[in-house]
Amino acid sequence: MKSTQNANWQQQQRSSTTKLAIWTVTWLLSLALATFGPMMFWQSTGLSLTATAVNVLVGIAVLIANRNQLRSLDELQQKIQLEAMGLTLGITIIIALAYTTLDSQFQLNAKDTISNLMFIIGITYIIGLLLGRRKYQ
Amino acid sequence: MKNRLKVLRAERDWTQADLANALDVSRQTINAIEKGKFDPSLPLAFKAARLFKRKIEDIFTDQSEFD
Repeated sequence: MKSTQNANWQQQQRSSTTKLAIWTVTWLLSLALATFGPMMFWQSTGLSLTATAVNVLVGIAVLIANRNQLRSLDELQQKIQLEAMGLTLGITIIIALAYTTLDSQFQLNAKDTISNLMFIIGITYIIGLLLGRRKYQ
Repeated sequence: MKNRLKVLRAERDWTQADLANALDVSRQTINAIEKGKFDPSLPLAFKAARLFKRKIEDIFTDQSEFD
């Protein structure tokens, strides 16, 4: 049995997943710093712009780590991820455009629109993954 | 697509995990293929054929042949 080869594949998957987790946490921390830094720690526009630039750069690192993690998955796992992402994209677009239409007609002026959208994206993605895993069980 | 993976695996007394290890995929993938819920890619099918020392068509059968 080629258990060593598969151990390498599993180790690679674990490694790429760990890296993705680390970069994601780093990105969240940089986002918190960029958001709350100007409120709590400094008044400088330059520092605020720098913090945002760092957040964007770390975000790019997250994208690369995510791509590498997806590549480390086997074909069924990749298919489940792709279907979950497709569902998330579709639902997000539908809800966002519906909200825009309602807002233009009724001046909804809802607060924290982006946060609500991120919540919808997160929940839809998780549901998509769960549905995918169940479909192929 | 129908396949004989389960039969070939049983002949060698392998678990799904053993077969997954040999083909560098997850046990979930092997389970889905055996149940006919997922069709493997051509490279994976060739890999399975090499592993079992059979032709691809001896392991995987196109369902449309019976339509």
